[in-house]
Amino acid sequence: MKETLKFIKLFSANKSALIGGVLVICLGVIALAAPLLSGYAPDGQNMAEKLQPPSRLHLLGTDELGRDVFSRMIFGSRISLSVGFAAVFISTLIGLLVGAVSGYFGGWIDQFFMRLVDIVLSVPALFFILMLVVFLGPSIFNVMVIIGLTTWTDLARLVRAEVLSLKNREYILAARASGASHARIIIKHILPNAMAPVFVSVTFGVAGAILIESGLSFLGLGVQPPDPSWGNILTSGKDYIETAWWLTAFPGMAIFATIISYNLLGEGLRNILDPRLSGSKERV
Amino acid sequence: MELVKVQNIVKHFRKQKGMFGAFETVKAVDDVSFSINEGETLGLVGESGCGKSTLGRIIIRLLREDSGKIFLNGKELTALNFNELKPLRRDMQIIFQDPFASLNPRIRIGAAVAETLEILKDEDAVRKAAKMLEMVGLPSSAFSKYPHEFSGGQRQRICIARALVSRPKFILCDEPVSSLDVSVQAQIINLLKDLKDELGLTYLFISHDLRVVRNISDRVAVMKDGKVVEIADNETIYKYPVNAYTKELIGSVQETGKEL
Amino acid sequence: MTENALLSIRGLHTYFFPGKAVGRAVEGVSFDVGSSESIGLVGESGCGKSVTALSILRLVSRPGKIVSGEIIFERGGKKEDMLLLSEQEMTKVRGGEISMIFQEPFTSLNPVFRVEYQVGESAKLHLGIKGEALRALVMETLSGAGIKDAERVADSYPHELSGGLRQRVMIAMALISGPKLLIADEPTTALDVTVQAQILDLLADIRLKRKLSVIMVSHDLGIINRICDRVNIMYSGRIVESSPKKEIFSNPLHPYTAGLLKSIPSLSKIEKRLPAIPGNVPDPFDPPAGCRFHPRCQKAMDICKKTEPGETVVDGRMVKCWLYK
Repeated sequence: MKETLKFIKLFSANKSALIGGVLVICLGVIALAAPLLSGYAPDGQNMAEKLQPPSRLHLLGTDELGRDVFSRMIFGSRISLSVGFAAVFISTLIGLLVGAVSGYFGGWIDQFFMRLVDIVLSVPALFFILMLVVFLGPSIFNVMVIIGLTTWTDLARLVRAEVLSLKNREYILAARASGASHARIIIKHILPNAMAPVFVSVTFGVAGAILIESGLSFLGLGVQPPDPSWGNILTSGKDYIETAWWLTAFPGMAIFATIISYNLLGEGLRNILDPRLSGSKERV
Repeated sequence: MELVKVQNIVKHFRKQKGMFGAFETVKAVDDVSFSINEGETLGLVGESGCGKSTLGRIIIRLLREDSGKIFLNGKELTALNFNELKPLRRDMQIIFQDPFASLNPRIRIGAAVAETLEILKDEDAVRKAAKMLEMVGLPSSAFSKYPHEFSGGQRQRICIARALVSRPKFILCDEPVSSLDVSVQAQIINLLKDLKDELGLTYLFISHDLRVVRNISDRVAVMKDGKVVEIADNETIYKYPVNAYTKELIGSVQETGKEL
Repeated sequence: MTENALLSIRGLHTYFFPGKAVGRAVEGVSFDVGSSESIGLVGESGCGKSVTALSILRLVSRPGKIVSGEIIFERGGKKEDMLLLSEQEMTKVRGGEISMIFQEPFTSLNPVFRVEYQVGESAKLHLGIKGEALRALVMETLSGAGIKDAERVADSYPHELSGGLRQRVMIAMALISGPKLLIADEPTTALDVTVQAQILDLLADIRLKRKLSVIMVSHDLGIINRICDRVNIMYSGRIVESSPKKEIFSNPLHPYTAGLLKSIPSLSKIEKRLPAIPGNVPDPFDPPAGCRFHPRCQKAMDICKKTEPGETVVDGRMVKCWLYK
């Protein structure tokens, strides 16, 4: 309880964490409340009102098929955010597992996983992702999995380094002397103490995953029309960039704002969590 | 009666000089044998790097030896695997030097002390842990607090409670008072002595501080470069040291009572 | 103030301000160090002994701050308050007239420079010598610090040396510019007992040869016994007793001094139970009222709980305790 209170106190005192956090929550609420906020169905076409500039009727204008851009964008945010979270969930799971196992057991297991990380890192990420998409075919599910499978390496290294520094602490030895199993030691004693950098990395990871998803969708390899995603709204908008600026400007701004808010939150969390939450009292 | 028997234990570490340098072998423990009787405190003194902590960790099975045997109560520990060893962990425990590093900062005191019993599936773990905390002189309010709320001396009491909660026969004390303030150090030494009498414990007391070892041990072993160079009765080793290194060690102690 | 004191500290207050709390690490410390006198500053963790030592050289870093007091040091025949000197003047004092050695010989040397360079640097700075003369002085100082093969050590990097040798190098570094005062902060705590004994011998020897004044900061009264003429016992930011060494060990005045002495285990005397001081060292952020020691003192009276005792002089010794009022 005390720690939670202390965290809240530090969090609200940290400007970038606070701004980032509020923005992230707003975006989440908008995505969840999408059907309530939008006056139109995201794929409802109305050719009579195509390519309308922003007006009271269509807040952000309409596209070449007469669909309401505002509705498409807020429904798109649902897809972008869920791709982001699902991808990060997968990459965090892999990263935690690989990092913890490598760091804790060391030896050839560590060698094996770390070489694997090197290999994954040595292939240009976008090239790797594009190859996989072409191979597996574009779909929301595939995009989530592919992003998850290609972005776990940094976290694995981070967790491994944390575990290495933690595993020889005396409380770990004490647990071993009590006959605790490896699983118990990793789950109960090591990971909870290694979570601070994981939280930070997850936050940055969501931003990164959303950016990759937008990029893929923009190239037509991600979320497929008619499902709206910020990336594919941009794609269809780019043909009209000279006549209908709103088709590209708003999704671009949405991507930008989302990335910024997650990065602010991540930055803030790093500042709060880095000199550990619960350090022993500083000695004078 | 012999409780712990150490037979020809050898442990070598390979160390590389620099990143590309040649490997050299460090003989951390070099053919050490001794035994500890039930109810006895054996002091193990030596300077940093002499292998005393490595030896201690081999005895309570936190490290594997290269060769040699360890017996506890007649059972050969060195022949057992992880699962066979598990029930025997109840009988041997360890107290570390640094009370700040030896408690998990995220686990409450009560849970930390009860952990050994939980692993052993003892249903009475919580009550026993509370009782143990009381026994080492901590208020019952300590049970639900976190480690950072305690001073060094209190933390060492918690570590002692954690080690003793499974009612072990043998305790390895690895420099348990070295990082404590002098006035607190004396409290912990007294506590260890009291608990030994009360619970019939057997200690292997590792320390670099001859003054502390002299005050708590029945017998003393002196270790240097991985070997036990002298082992004798507390009185004998202090009054009639045979080995040159033992003599140097005794002569190096800065005493307050000594006239200069 | 003693007329011929080399260093006089008066009413030194050094506080720490992390966030809103105030840690009164040093609160009203006063003492003198005479020329070629060796003073011990003894106490347990958090008593303010190291902060006092750092304050003398104005090396206390944020969130710590020297709040008030005077540190009068004799420089070139003049007495100056070091707290009023400019930062530029202070750099001349540090390593020039007053040197300091620290506990950790492993982290106090820069790993990327050879010993010769590090030891010589201070002489280059403060004495302005270089080239062959500098090398000769470095060799002489290293030998003076009891290093037999000075040539080899001078050409080594710190990681190639043992802990004992590193501490000797540190001592050489501190002495090369010919300081008048050496502050040693737990210089042997990280060393093995046998090496510790050698380093203490060296310090005792150098002190006499160079007519050096020494402030020895330590938690270990045994070490203090080896090297000091006069002992200041610190508790919770204050000096509670100041006595010549001989008297402090045979007849301690303050109950804390007495308790501390008794609680040290001894080789010559085995006790069934060590006479420990009950309780814990006070938290500088939350010290008890009245006499800081009263919650742990067996002789505590009512007045001890309310009012802090002032200085009392007993047979030329200073003590802060109501028992002597």
